[in-house]
Amino acid sequence: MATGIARYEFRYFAHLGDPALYAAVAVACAAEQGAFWPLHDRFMAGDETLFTPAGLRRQVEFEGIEYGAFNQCLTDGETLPLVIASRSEGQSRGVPGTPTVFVNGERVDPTFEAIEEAVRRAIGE
Amino acid sequence: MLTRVSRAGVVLAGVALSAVLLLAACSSESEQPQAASEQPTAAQVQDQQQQQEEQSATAYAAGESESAEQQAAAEQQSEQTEPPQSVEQAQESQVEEASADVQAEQQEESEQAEVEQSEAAEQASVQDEAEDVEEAMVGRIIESGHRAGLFANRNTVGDPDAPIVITEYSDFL
Repeated sequence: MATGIARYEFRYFAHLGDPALYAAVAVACAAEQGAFWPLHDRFMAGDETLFTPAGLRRQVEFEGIEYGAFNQCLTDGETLPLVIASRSEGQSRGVPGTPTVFVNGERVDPTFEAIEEAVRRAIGE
Repeated sequence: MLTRVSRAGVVLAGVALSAVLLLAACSSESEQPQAASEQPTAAQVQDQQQQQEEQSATAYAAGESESAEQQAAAEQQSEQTEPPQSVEQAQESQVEEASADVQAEQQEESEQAEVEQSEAAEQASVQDEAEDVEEAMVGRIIESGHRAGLFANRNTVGDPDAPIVITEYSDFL
């Protein structure tokens, strides 16, 4: 499959309680400094230390994120409206839970094979 | 001369008789007061009996009252003497209860201290484990090669003008 055909968008759908909301807000704050993916990957890898202030600080600083601005963003909840809006959008699209994947608006199973098949079908292969 | 002798005899006899009578009179007078004193009259005896009865009655009454008073006093004394025993017993029981309470409190405190120590030890071990995990995670490089060479902007990866959009709604837990 050639490059430039598809793009992938991650949407926050924090619906598993305060820890999930906290993680989404933290990742969104990292995204403010252009470090969405490093922190995204760490949360997805199940890094439990991110749920403690000291652990989060060490990981954030390890990823090169300026902790002062990050912590200010996290403390003030600057990205909370974005996270809430993303979840509301998902709910309006009928997202039942996570993960839920759409390919050009069509809901598909969240597996690599199902997504690839949907993409190929969309490009006429 | 015979007359003189008879006269003298008569005189002697008279004297003797008077002496005898006098002696008799004396003896009866001395004995009669003694008898009178030794043998009281019936009225005296009755008075004495009445007095004795009254005395005995008063004595009995007094004795009853005395015995009642003594009994009451004895009861009071027994009550007064018994309460100290009950107070002592109560004090002993209070002391025993207090000591039991103190022992129970000490036992609770020791148990609580043990629980706190165990909890502190558990927390310390958990904290150590967390620190170990943190140390391990800090240096861990998260593989993101699947995005290498792709345009990444915030939460988007790939060509912004690509015709196909894959959208994933996900959580971080």
